[in-house]
Amino acid sequence: MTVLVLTSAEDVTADMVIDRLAAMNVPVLRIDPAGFPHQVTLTAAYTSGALTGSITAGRRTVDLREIRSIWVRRPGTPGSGAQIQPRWVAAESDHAWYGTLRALPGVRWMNPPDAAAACRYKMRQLVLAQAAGLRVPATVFTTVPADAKRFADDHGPLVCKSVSGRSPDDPPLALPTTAVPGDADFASVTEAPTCLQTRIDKHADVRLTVVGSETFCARTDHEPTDGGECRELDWRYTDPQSVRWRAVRVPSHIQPKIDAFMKTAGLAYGAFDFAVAAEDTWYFLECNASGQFGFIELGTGLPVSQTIADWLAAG
Amino acid sequence: MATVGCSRLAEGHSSGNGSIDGPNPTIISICERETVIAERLAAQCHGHAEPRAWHAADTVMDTPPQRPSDAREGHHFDTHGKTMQPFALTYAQPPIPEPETPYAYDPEQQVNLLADGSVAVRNRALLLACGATTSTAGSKTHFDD
Repeated sequence: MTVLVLTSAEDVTADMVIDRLAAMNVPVLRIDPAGFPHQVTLTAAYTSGALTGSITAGRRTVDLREIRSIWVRRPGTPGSGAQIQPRWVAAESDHAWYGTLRALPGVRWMNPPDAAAACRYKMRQLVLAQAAGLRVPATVFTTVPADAKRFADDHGPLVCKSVSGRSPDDPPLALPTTAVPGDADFASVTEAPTCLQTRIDKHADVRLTVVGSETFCARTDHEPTDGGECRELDWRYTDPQSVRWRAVRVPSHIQPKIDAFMKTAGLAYGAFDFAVAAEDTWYFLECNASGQFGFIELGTGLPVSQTIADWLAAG
Repeated sequence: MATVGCSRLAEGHSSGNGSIDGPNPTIISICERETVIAERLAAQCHGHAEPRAWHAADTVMDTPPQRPSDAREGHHFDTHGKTMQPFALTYAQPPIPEPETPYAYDPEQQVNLLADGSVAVRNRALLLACGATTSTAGSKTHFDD
Protein backbone atom coordinates (compact mmCIF):
# COMPACT_ATOMS: atom_id res chain seq x y z
CA MET A 1 0.00 0.00 0.00
CA THR A 2 1.31 3.41 -0.98
CA VAL A 3 0.95 6.97 0.26
CA LEU A 4 0.53 9.40 -2.63
CA VAL A 5 1.93 12.86 -1.87
CA LEU A 6 0.87 15.68 -4.17
CA THR A 7 3.23 18.63 -3.89
CA SER A 8 5.94 20.60 -5.60
CA ALA A 9 9.59 19.58 -5.55
CA GLU A 10 10.65 22.63 -3.55
CA ASP A 11 8.16 21.93 -0.75
CA VAL A 12 10.71 20.99 1.88
CA THR A 13 7.99 20.85 4.54
CA ALA A 14 6.61 17.77 2.80
CA ASP A 15 10.06 16.24 3.12
CA MET A 16 9.61 16.24 6.89
CA VAL A 17 6.76 13.77 6.52
CA ILE A 18 8.19 11.76 3.63
CA ASP A 19 11.41 11.21 5.57
CA ARG A 20 9.33 9.85 8.46
CA LEU A 21 7.34 7.59 6.13
CA ALA A 22 10.59 6.27 4.68
CA ALA A 23 11.82 5.47 8.18
CA MET A 24 8.56 3.58 8.73
CA ASN A 25 9.13 1.64 5.47
CA VAL A 26 5.88 3.00 4.06
CA PRO A 27 5.98 3.21 0.25
CA VAL A 28 5.56 6.78 -1.00
CA LEU A 29 5.01 8.24 -4.42
CA ARG A 30 5.64 11.98 -4.48
CA ILE A 31 4.25 13.77 -7.49
CA ASP A 32 3.67 17.33 -8.59
CA PRO A 33 0.53 17.17 -10.75
CA ALA A 34 1.97 20.11 -12.70
CA GLY A 35 4.17 17.50 -14.35
CA PHE A 36 1.19 15.62 -15.70
CA PRO A 37 1.02 14.54 -18.52
CA HIS A 38 4.68 14.97 -19.58
CA GLN A 39 6.79 14.05 -16.54
CA VAL A 40 4.01 12.06 -14.90
CA THR A 41 1.83 9.57 -16.74
CA LEU A 42 -1.51 8.06 -15.89
CA THR A 43 -3.66 5.28 -17.26
CA ALA A 44 -6.98 4.61 -15.59
CA ALA A 45 -9.38 2.07 -17.03
CA TYR A 46 -12.88 1.33 -15.87
CA THR A 47 -13.87 -2.02 -17.24
CA SER A 48 -16.16 -4.74 -15.94
CA GLY A 49 -16.98 -2.64 -12.92
CA ALA A 50 -13.39 -2.24 -11.77
CA LEU A 51 -11.10 0.81 -11.82
CA THR A 52 -7.56 -0.24 -12.67
CA GLY A 53 -4.44 1.47 -13.90
CA SER A 54 -1.23 3.09 -12.78
CA ILE A 55 0.65 6.31 -12.23
CA THR A 56 4.29 6.62 -13.23
CA ALA A 57 6.82 9.30 -12.33
CA GLY A 58 10.38 8.68 -13.43
CA ARG A 59 11.27 5.14 -12.48
CA ARG A 60 8.46 4.80 -9.95
CA THR A 61 5.11 3.29 -10.80
CA VAL A 62 2.20 2.70 -8.49
CA ASP A 63 -0.85 0.57 -9.19
CA LEU A 64 -3.97 2.62 -8.53
CA ARG A 65 -5.29 -0.15 -6.30
CA GLU A 66 -2.22 0.20 -4.08
CA ILE A 67 -2.96 3.79 -3.08
CA ARG A 68 -4.15 3.90 0.52
CA SER A 69 -3.98 7.60 1.28
CA ILE A 70 -3.44 10.87 -0.54
CA TRP A 71 -1.82 13.93 1.02
CA VAL A 72 -2.64 17.09 -0.89
CA ARG A 73 0.12 19.44 0.22
CA ARG A 74 1.07 22.09 -2.33
CA PRO A 75 0.35 20.62 -5.74
CA GLY A 76 0.74 22.45 -9.01
CA THR A 77 -2.02 22.51 -11.57
CA PRO A 78 -2.28 19.44 -13.80
CA GLY A 79 -1.50 20.10 -17.43
CA SER A 80 0.41 23.31 -16.77
CA GLY A 81 2.57 24.71 -19.51
CA ALA A 82 1.05 23.04 -22.56
CA GLN A 83 2.04 24.78 -25.78
CA ILE A 84 -1.04 23.88 -27.80
CA GLN A 85 -4.52 24.73 -26.47
CA PRO A 86 -3.14 25.21 -22.94
CA ARG A 87 -6.46 25.85 -21.18
CA TRP A 88 -8.09 22.86 -22.80
CA VAL A 89 -5.12 20.62 -21.99
CA ALA A 90 -5.22 21.86 -18.37
CA ALA A 91 -8.94 21.10 -18.10
CA GLU A 92 -8.52 17.66 -19.63
CA SER A 93 -5.57 16.96 -17.34
CA ASP A 94 -7.40 18.13 -14.22
CA HIS A 95 -10.38 15.92 -14.96
CA ALA A 96 -8.26 12.90 -15.81
CA TRP A 97 -6.03 13.32 -12.76
CA TYR A 98 -8.39 14.30 -9.98
CA GLY A 99 -11.32 12.48 -11.55
CA THR A 100 -9.37 9.25 -11.24
CA LEU A 101 -8.06 9.87 -7.75
CA ARG A 102 -11.48 10.89 -6.48
CA ALA A 103 -12.91 7.66 -7.86
CA LEU A 104 -10.49 5.42 -5.97
CA PRO A 105 -12.43 3.49 -3.33
CA GLY A 106 -11.44 3.47 0.31
CA VAL A 107 -8.70 6.10 0.05
CA ARG A 108 -8.06 8.55 2.92
CA TRP A 109 -7.54 12.14 1.89
CA MET A 110 -5.68 14.79 3.80
CA ASN A 111 -7.64 16.84 2.93
CA PRO A 112 -10.63 15.82 0.82
CA PRO A 113 -10.46 18.16 -2.19
CA ASP A 114 -13.98 19.53 -1.86
CA ALA A 115 -13.55 20.22 1.85
CA ALA A 116 -10.22 21.93 1.28
CA ALA A 117 -11.62 24.06 -1.54
CA ALA A 118 -14.65 25.11 0.50
CA CYS A 119 -12.43 25.97 3.46
CA ARG A 120 -10.55 28.53 1.40
CA TYR A 121 -13.51 30.89 1.65
CA LYS A 122 -13.00 33.21 4.59
CA MET A 123 -16.60 34.18 5.20
CA ARG A 124 -17.67 30.55 5.31
CA GLN A 125 -14.90 29.87 7.81
CA LEU A 126 -16.11 32.65 10.06
CA VAL A 127 -19.66 31.34 9.98
CA LEU A 128 -18.50 27.78 10.74
CA ALA A 129 -16.27 28.98 13.55
CA GLN A 130 -19.04 31.02 15.14
CA ALA A 131 -21.39 28.05 14.84
CA ALA A 132 -18.78 25.87 16.53
CA GLY A 133 -18.77 28.27 19.46
CA LEU A 134 -15.57 30.16 18.70
CA ARG A 135 -15.38 33.92 19.09
CA VAL A 136 -15.03 35.71 15.76
CA PRO A 137 -14.09 39.36 15.06
CA ALA A 138 -16.66 41.48 13.23
CA THR A 139 -15.82 41.26 9.55
CA VAL A 140 -17.12 42.77 6.35
CA PHE A 141 -16.48 42.17 2.67
CA THR A 142 -17.63 45.14 0.69
CA THR A 143 -17.37 47.02 -2.57
CA VAL A 144 -19.47 49.94 -1.32
CA PRO A 145 -17.53 52.86 0.17
CA ALA A 146 -20.42 54.06 2.33
CA ASP A 147 -20.81 50.58 3.82
CA ALA A 148 -17.09 50.38 4.56
CA LYS A 149 -17.27 53.76 6.30
CA ARG A 150 -20.30 52.69 8.31
CA PHE A 151 -18.54 49.47 9.32
CA ALA A 152 -15.50 51.47 10.42
CA ASP A 153 -17.71 53.75 12.51
CA ASP A 154 -19.48 50.82 14.14
CA HIS A 155 -16.65 48.30 14.51
CA GLY A 156 -13.35 50.19 14.29
CA PRO A 157 -10.46 50.27 14.74
CA LEU A 158 -10.00 47.98 11.77
CA VAL A 159 -7.49 45.90 9.93
CA CYS A 160 -7.51 45.22 6.21
CA LYS A 161 -6.61 41.80 4.89
CA SER A 162 -6.86 39.81 1.72
CA VAL A 163 -10.23 38.20 1.07
CA SER A 164 -8.68 35.15 -0.59
CA GLY A 165 -5.32 34.81 1.14
CA ARG A 166 -3.64 35.12 -2.22
CA SER A 167 -0.86 37.60 -2.81
CA PRO A 168 -1.11 39.86 -5.87
CA ASP A 169 1.17 38.56 -8.61
CA ASP A 170 1.11 41.13 -11.42
CA PRO A 171 3.42 42.55 -10.21
CA PRO A 172 4.18 40.39 -7.15
CA LEU A 173 3.26 42.07 -3.87
CA ALA A 174 2.83 41.05 -0.26
CA LEU A 175 -0.39 41.90 1.52
CA PRO A 176 -0.02 41.52 5.26
CA THR A 177 -2.86 42.21 7.62
CA THR A 178 -2.55 45.96 8.18
CA ALA A 179 -4.14 48.52 10.49
CA VAL A 180 -6.54 50.89 8.73
CA PRO A 181 -6.19 54.54 9.76
CA GLY A 182 -9.23 56.07 11.40
CA ASP A 183 -9.55 58.67 8.66
CA ALA A 184 -9.20 56.20 5.77
CA ASP A 185 -10.87 57.07 2.48
CA PHE A 186 -12.77 53.97 1.39
CA ALA A 187 -13.57 55.23 -2.14
CA SER A 188 -11.39 52.61 -3.79
CA VAL A 189 -13.18 49.58 -2.29
CA THR A 190 -15.13 49.81 -5.55
CA GLU A 191 -12.07 48.41 -7.35
CA ALA A 192 -11.92 45.03 -5.59
CA PRO A 193 -13.79 43.34 -2.76
CA THR A 194 -12.23 44.50 0.47
CA CYS A 195 -12.07 42.58 3.73
CA LEU A 196 -12.19 44.77 6.84
CA GLN A 197 -12.14 43.30 10.31
CA THR A 198 -12.22 44.62 13.84
CA ARG A 199 -8.66 44.92 15.09
CA ILE A 200 -8.17 42.69 18.09
CA ASP A 201 -6.09 44.20 20.86
CA LYS A 202 -4.08 41.02 21.12
CA HIS A 203 -1.42 39.98 23.56
CA ALA A 204 -0.44 36.81 21.73
CA ASP A 205 -0.93 34.78 18.58
CA VAL A 206 -1.72 31.10 18.57
CA ARG A 207 -1.11 28.63 15.74
CA LEU A 208 -3.08 25.51 16.46
CA THR A 209 -2.43 22.57 14.15
CA VAL A 210 -4.89 19.71 13.95
CA VAL A 211 -3.91 16.32 12.50
CA GLY A 212 -6.75 13.83 12.63
CA SER A 213 -7.69 13.69 16.28
CA GLU A 214 -4.45 15.27 17.52
CA THR A 215 -4.03 18.95 18.29
CA PHE A 216 -0.73 20.83 18.54
CA CYS A 217 -0.82 24.28 20.02
CA ALA A 218 1.90 26.91 19.78
CA ARG A 219 1.81 30.45 21.12
CA THR A 220 3.90 33.56 20.66
CA ASP A 221 3.48 36.45 23.07
CA HIS A 222 4.01 40.05 22.08
CA GLU A 223 5.51 42.93 23.93
CA PRO A 224 3.34 46.04 23.75
CA THR A 225 4.73 49.15 22.10
CA ASP A 226 5.18 52.39 24.01
CA GLY A 227 1.68 53.32 22.94
CA GLY A 228 0.33 50.13 24.47
CA GLU A 229 -0.53 48.57 21.13
CA CYS A 230 0.51 45.14 19.99
CA ARG A 231 3.64 45.36 17.89
CA GLU A 232 3.17 42.24 15.79
CA LEU A 233 0.00 42.70 13.78
CA ASP A 234 0.85 39.93 11.32
CA TRP A 235 3.55 37.54 12.49
CA ARG A 236 3.74 35.95 9.04
CA TYR A 237 5.50 39.03 7.71
CA THR A 238 7.95 39.64 10.51
CA ASP A 239 11.43 38.22 10.71
CA PRO A 240 10.85 34.51 11.47
CA GLN A 241 13.86 34.57 13.77
CA SER A 242 12.16 37.20 15.93
CA VAL A 243 8.97 35.19 16.53
CA ARG A 244 9.42 32.74 19.39
CA TRP A 245 6.85 29.96 19.44
CA ARG A 246 6.34 27.82 22.52
CA ALA A 247 4.18 24.78 22.95
CA VAL A 248 1.14 25.31 25.18
CA ARG A 249 -1.90 23.30 26.14
CA VAL A 250 -5.16 23.93 24.37
CA PRO A 251 -7.63 25.47 26.80
CA SER A 252 -10.26 22.91 27.71
CA HIS A 253 -13.08 25.14 26.51
CA ILE A 254 -11.45 25.60 23.08
CA GLN A 255 -10.75 21.97 22.14
CA PRO A 256 -14.38 20.85 21.64
CA LYS A 257 -15.00 23.90 19.44
CA ILE A 258 -12.01 23.00 17.29
CA ASP A 259 -13.29 19.45 17.00
CA ALA A 260 -16.71 20.73 15.97
CA PHE A 261 -15.19 23.00 13.33
CA MET A 262 -13.07 20.20 11.87
CA LYS A 263 -16.02 17.84 11.74
CA THR A 264 -18.32 20.35 10.06
CA ALA A 265 -15.63 21.43 7.61
CA GLY A 266 -14.79 17.81 6.78
CA LEU A 267 -11.07 18.37 7.27
CA ALA A 268 -8.42 15.89 8.41
CA TYR A 269 -5.80 18.64 8.72
CA GLY A 270 -6.13 22.28 9.63
CA ALA A 271 -3.85 25.06 10.86
CA PHE A 272 -5.83 27.57 12.88
CA ASP A 273 -4.78 31.12 13.67
CA PHE A 274 -6.11 32.78 16.80
CA ALA A 275 -5.52 36.20 18.29
CA VAL A 276 -5.44 36.12 22.07
CA ALA A 277 -6.75 39.22 23.81
CA ALA A 278 -7.06 40.22 27.44
CA GLU A 279 -8.27 37.62 29.93
CA ASP A 280 -7.04 34.93 27.56
CA THR A 281 -9.91 35.50 25.15
CA TRP A 282 -9.30 33.64 21.91
CA TYR A 283 -10.51 35.10 18.62
CA PHE A 284 -10.67 32.84 15.60
CA LEU A 285 -8.94 34.42 12.60
CA GLU A 286 -8.76 31.62 10.06
CA CYS A 287 -8.18 27.94 9.41
CA ASN A 288 -5.66 27.05 6.71
CA ALA A 289 -6.46 23.67 5.20
CA SER A 290 -2.92 23.46 3.80
CA GLY A 291 -1.26 25.51 6.48
CA GLN A 292 2.46 25.34 7.04
CA PHE A 293 3.60 23.42 10.09
CA GLY A 294 7.35 23.05 9.67
CA PHE A 295 8.21 26.28 11.46
CA ILE A 296 6.06 25.24 14.41
CA GLU A 297 7.66 21.82 14.69
CA LEU A 298 11.15 23.26 14.33
CA GLY A 299 10.48 25.98 16.87
CA THR A 300 8.67 23.94 19.52
CA GLY A 301 9.49 20.30 18.96
CA LEU A 302 5.82 19.42 18.60
CA PRO A 303 5.70 16.16 16.56
CA VAL A 304 3.43 17.34 13.77
CA SER A 305 5.23 15.62 10.90
CA GLN A 306 5.32 12.25 12.66
CA THR A 307 1.62 12.50 13.41
CA ILE A 308 0.85 13.27 9.78
CA ALA A 309 2.98 10.32 8.72
CA ASP A 310 1.15 8.07 11.17
CA TRP A 311 -2.22 9.29 9.91
CA LEU A 312 -1.29 8.68 6.27
CA ALA A 313 0.19 5.26 7.00
CA ALA A 314 -2.87 4.14 8.92
CA GLY A 315 -5.09 4.32 5.87
CA MET B 1 -17.83 59.20 -17.46
CA ALA B 2 -17.16 60.94 -20.69
CA THR B 3 -19.16 63.81 -21.99
CA VAL B 4 -19.47 63.69 -25.73
CA GLY B 5 -21.20 66.36 -27.67
CA CYS B 6 -21.65 69.81 -28.85
CA SER B 7 -21.70 72.83 -26.59
CA ARG B 8 -25.11 73.04 -24.93
CA LEU B 9 -25.73 69.32 -24.64
CA ALA B 10 -22.24 68.69 -23.33
CA GLU B 11 -22.58 71.58 -20.92
CA GLY B 12 -25.87 70.17 -19.67
CA HIS B 13 -24.37 66.75 -19.19
CA SER B 14 -21.35 68.02 -17.34
CA SER B 15 -23.38 70.25 -15.04
CA GLY B 16 -25.61 67.29 -14.25
CA ASN B 17 -22.66 65.33 -12.99
CA GLY B 18 -23.33 66.22 -9.38
CA SER B 19 -26.85 64.89 -9.46
CA ILE B 20 -25.86 61.39 -10.54
CA ASP B 21 -26.54 58.72 -7.96
CA GLY B 22 -23.66 56.44 -7.04
CA PRO B 23 -20.09 56.80 -5.90
CA ASN B 24 -17.75 59.43 -7.28
CA PRO B 25 -19.12 60.37 -10.67
CA THR B 26 -16.08 61.77 -12.38
CA ILE B 27 -15.79 63.34 -15.78
CA ILE B 28 -12.71 62.01 -17.43
CA SER B 29 -13.09 63.31 -20.92
CA ILE B 30 -14.90 65.97 -22.90
CA CYS B 31 -15.12 65.70 -26.63
CA GLU B 32 -15.92 68.97 -28.35
CA ARG B 33 -14.94 70.29 -31.76
CA GLU B 34 -14.31 73.79 -30.46
CA THR B 35 -11.31 73.89 -28.15
CA VAL B 36 -12.51 76.99 -26.36
CA ILE B 37 -15.81 75.36 -25.47
CA ALA B 38 -14.07 72.17 -24.35
CA GLU B 39 -11.75 74.12 -22.09
CA ARG B 40 -14.62 76.08 -20.61
CA LEU B 41 -16.52 72.87 -19.88
CA ALA B 42 -13.42 71.36 -18.32
CA ALA B 43 -13.06 74.37 -16.07
CA GLN B 44 -16.63 73.88 -14.91
CA CYS B 45 -15.91 70.33 -13.89
CA HIS B 46 -14.35 71.47 -10.62
CA GLY B 47 -11.01 69.94 -11.39
CA HIS B 48 -12.30 66.59 -12.53
CA ALA B 49 -11.08 66.97 -16.08
CA GLU B 50 -7.72 68.23 -17.16
CA PRO B 51 -7.99 71.08 -19.66
CA ARG B 52 -6.01 69.37 -22.37
CA ALA B 53 -6.82 69.34 -26.04
CA TRP B 54 -6.50 66.68 -28.67
CA HIS B 55 -7.25 67.28 -32.28
CA ALA B 56 -7.63 63.74 -33.48
CA ALA B 57 -9.59 60.87 -31.98
CA ASP B 58 -6.76 58.37 -32.36
CA THR B 59 -4.49 60.67 -30.32
CA VAL B 60 -7.04 60.71 -27.53
CA MET B 61 -7.19 56.94 -27.58
CA ASP B 62 -3.44 56.69 -27.06
CA THR B 63 -2.98 59.44 -24.49
CA PRO B 64 -3.08 58.66 -20.79
CA PRO B 65 -4.42 59.39 -18.27
CA GLN B 66 -7.79 60.25 -19.83
CA ARG B 67 -8.14 57.09 -21.88
CA PRO B 68 -11.57 56.33 -23.32
CA SER B 69 -10.44 52.71 -23.55
CA ASP B 70 -10.07 52.62 -19.78
CA ALA B 71 -13.53 54.07 -19.36
CA ARG B 72 -14.97 51.36 -21.60
CA GLU B 73 -13.28 48.70 -19.48
CA GLY B 74 -14.85 50.05 -16.34
CA HIS B 75 -11.73 51.56 -14.83
CA HIS B 76 -12.30 54.28 -12.25
CA PHE B 77 -10.40 57.45 -11.77
CA ASP B 78 -9.65 59.64 -8.82
CA THR B 79 -10.06 63.38 -8.82
CA HIS B 80 -6.72 63.74 -10.57
CA GLY B 81 -7.81 61.57 -13.45
CA LYS B 82 -5.71 58.59 -12.40
CA THR B 83 -6.91 55.00 -12.14
CA MET B 84 -7.71 54.02 -8.55
CA GLN B 85 -5.97 50.98 -7.17
CA PRO B 86 -7.98 48.61 -5.00
CA PHE B 87 -8.22 49.73 -1.38
CA ALA B 88 -6.41 46.73 0.05
CA LEU B 89 -3.40 47.37 -2.17
CA THR B 90 -2.89 50.66 -0.34
CA TYR B 91 -1.23 48.45 2.25
CA ALA B 92 0.72 46.21 -0.13
CA GLN B 93 4.42 45.76 0.39
CA PRO B 94 7.24 44.41 -1.72
CA PRO B 95 7.10 40.63 -1.74
CA ILE B 96 9.17 38.67 0.71
CA PRO B 97 11.94 37.04 -1.33
CA GLU B 98 11.79 33.28 -1.49
CA PRO B 99 14.44 31.84 0.81
CA GLU B 100 17.82 30.88 -0.52
CA THR B 101 17.93 27.13 -0.12
CA PRO B 102 21.17 25.17 -0.07
CA TYR B 103 19.53 21.95 -1.21
CA ALA B 104 18.02 20.44 -4.32
CA TYR B 105 15.26 17.95 -5.00
CA ASP B 106 16.33 14.38 -5.61
CA PRO B 107 13.68 12.40 -7.52
CA GLU B 108 15.18 9.10 -6.47
CA GLN B 109 14.80 9.73 -2.76
CA GLN B 110 11.83 12.07 -3.29
CA VAL B 111 13.23 14.62 -0.84
CA ASN B 112 15.60 17.56 -1.00
CA LEU B 113 19.28 16.82 -0.40
CA LEU B 114 22.18 18.95 0.71
CA ALA B 115 25.34 19.09 -1.35
CA ASP B 116 26.87 16.28 0.74
CA GLY B 117 23.94 14.00 -0.12
CA SER B 118 22.27 14.19 3.29
CA VAL B 119 18.56 14.74 3.71
CA ALA B 120 17.99 18.47 4.21
CA VAL B 121 15.15 18.23 6.74
CA ARG B 122 17.36 16.34 9.17
CA ASN B 123 19.39 19.53 9.55
CA ARG B 124 16.91 21.48 11.64
CA ALA B 125 19.20 24.42 12.31
CA LEU B 126 19.64 24.92 8.60
CA LEU B 127 15.91 24.72 7.96
CA LEU B 128 15.19 27.30 10.63
CA ALA B 129 17.91 29.57 9.32
CA CYS B 130 16.73 29.55 5.71
CA GLY B 131 13.05 30.02 6.59
CA ALA B 132 11.77 27.62 3.96
CA THR B 133 9.06 26.21 6.22
CA THR B 134 7.50 29.50 7.26
CA SER B 135 3.98 30.62 6.57
CA THR B 136 4.94 32.82 3.64
CA ALA B 137 7.37 30.40 1.99
CA GLY B 138 6.07 29.55 -1.47
CA SER B 139 3.76 32.57 -1.58
CA LYS B 140 4.60 33.02 -5.22
CA THR B 141 2.55 29.99 -6.14
CA HIS B 142 0.50 29.26 -3.06
CA PHE B 143 -1.40 30.90 -0.26
CA ASP B 144 0.26 32.56 2.71
CA ASP B 145 -0.79 29.98 5.23
